[in-house]
Amino acid sequence: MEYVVQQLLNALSIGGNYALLALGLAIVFSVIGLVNFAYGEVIAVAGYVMFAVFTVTGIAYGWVLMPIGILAAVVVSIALERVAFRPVRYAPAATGLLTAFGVSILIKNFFITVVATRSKSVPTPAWLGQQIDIGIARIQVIQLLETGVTAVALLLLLLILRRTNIGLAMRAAARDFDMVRMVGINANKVIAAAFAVSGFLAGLAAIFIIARRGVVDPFMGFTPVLKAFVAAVLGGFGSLGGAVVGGFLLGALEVFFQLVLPPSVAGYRDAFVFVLVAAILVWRPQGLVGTKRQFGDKDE
Amino acid sequence: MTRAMLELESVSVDYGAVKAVQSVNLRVEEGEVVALLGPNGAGKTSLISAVMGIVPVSAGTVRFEGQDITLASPEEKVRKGIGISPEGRRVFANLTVAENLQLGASAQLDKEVRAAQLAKYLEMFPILKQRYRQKAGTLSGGEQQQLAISRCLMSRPRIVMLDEPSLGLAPVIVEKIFDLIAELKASGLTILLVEQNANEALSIADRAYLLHSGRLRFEGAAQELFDSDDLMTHYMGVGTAQ
Repeated sequence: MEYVVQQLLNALSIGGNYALLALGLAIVFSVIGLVNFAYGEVIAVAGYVMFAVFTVTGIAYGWVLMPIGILAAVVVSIALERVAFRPVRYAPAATGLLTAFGVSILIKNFFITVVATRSKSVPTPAWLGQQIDIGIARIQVIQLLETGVTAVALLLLLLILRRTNIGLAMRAAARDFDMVRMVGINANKVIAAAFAVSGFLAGLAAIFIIARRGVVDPFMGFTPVLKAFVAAVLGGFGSLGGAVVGGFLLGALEVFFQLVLPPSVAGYRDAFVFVLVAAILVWRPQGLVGTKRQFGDKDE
Repeated sequence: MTRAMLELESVSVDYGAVKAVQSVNLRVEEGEVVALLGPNGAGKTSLISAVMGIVPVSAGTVRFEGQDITLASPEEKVRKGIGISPEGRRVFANLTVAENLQLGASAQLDKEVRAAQLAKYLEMFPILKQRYRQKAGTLSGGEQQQLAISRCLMSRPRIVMLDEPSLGLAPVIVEKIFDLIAELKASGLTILLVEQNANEALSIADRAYLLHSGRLRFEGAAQELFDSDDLMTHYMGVGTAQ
């Protein structure tokens, strides 16, 4: 029983992280049709800002450094939209894609040049790794925190999307961006809001990634965002619900294969996961939650 | 002549090498209903989209109440008082009727005005009240058209552009939509009515323009165009003489 609960929580915390990032990719894609390949660098910026604050002030990873990391991710996400993506907003989709690659390379090399290629340590407090007894199982604080924060973040996002005007506008923009403008909503505001939300989710993911690794490096965002991209496609790219479903499913699959694969092939875990994902996409090309294109949908 | 509410001066719209609209002059006075007629592909929707700012005006000037708004963004134009119910209705199918109407009032910041607007249009369109919590995508074509029109009215526009409100609707529903437009006209609203359905549009309009292959072919009183069987047969492919 304890084993099952532990592995379930394992799957939830890993999947939760993927879900946050998949949502961050999906929300920007749904609003302006941009696949943000610079998303991993938003995570890296959050990490390096935390590293810089720690190095300069000595404030260790904790309740002060975490919000700073999140804020950094939000700011850099909004700034990237303003500086890099807005000028190419009405250009063909490929231009936006290439811009994102360019931004990604630029930021990565900035860290390589200015800081270092090798990783820098951001020490995390011991209590994160401690185990606590919740009756049916003993679990790590970090896992509990990760699962809890992810759940709260998802609920918060749902509330914003359902209850606020800017949230409504984002959902409407996913359907028909020009029409959103024709009811008098400022396009720049909706897009900035989408990037802000996306940055916030990247920031959340970043503080957990650092909590697990205790280090930052220029490539730290690559693998998580790659996985998030797979999760988003699995759920149905552009669908917000799909991103969440895809994220948790991918997390569960990883934990499952980790458990059942014999040690000799355990190193190929991701290969097994991706083969299964590919099989699912053959069965449902539009993703698990995604719907087929309908009349009136965006044709991007 | 009074100052026009909406005035287009030699407006052209290009899509690359394709000239969709060429040098159109058009004016709508306050309180008027002006019909913009033309067959499919005449450039009507291109012209309206350019006025709204969704596609760029390649030459010419658009004025609203004397002010040059040619380069203003769609959202600025809505705030100034231009409303649009676009071709194909374009309701937000994934949102409820309530949410569609709420978004329609986005340009209207005063909360009380918004509530009053909502109450007014729910009374005017009882079907929307019935379907209030339903997804707009589940509505019938006629209901969606009513939603599109009321959505654009929510911002309290000074002029509304109705782009093909009768397109794809059953005759009995078309009748209903035109009754509604007559009601809006009676309330003093200024309307630019874009239509292929010439007979209905002309019966309600004060003045009319006829657009064909991107150029204006006629401008004058609605009755005059209605009576001109030649023009109607030649450009619209329908005779109006009974």
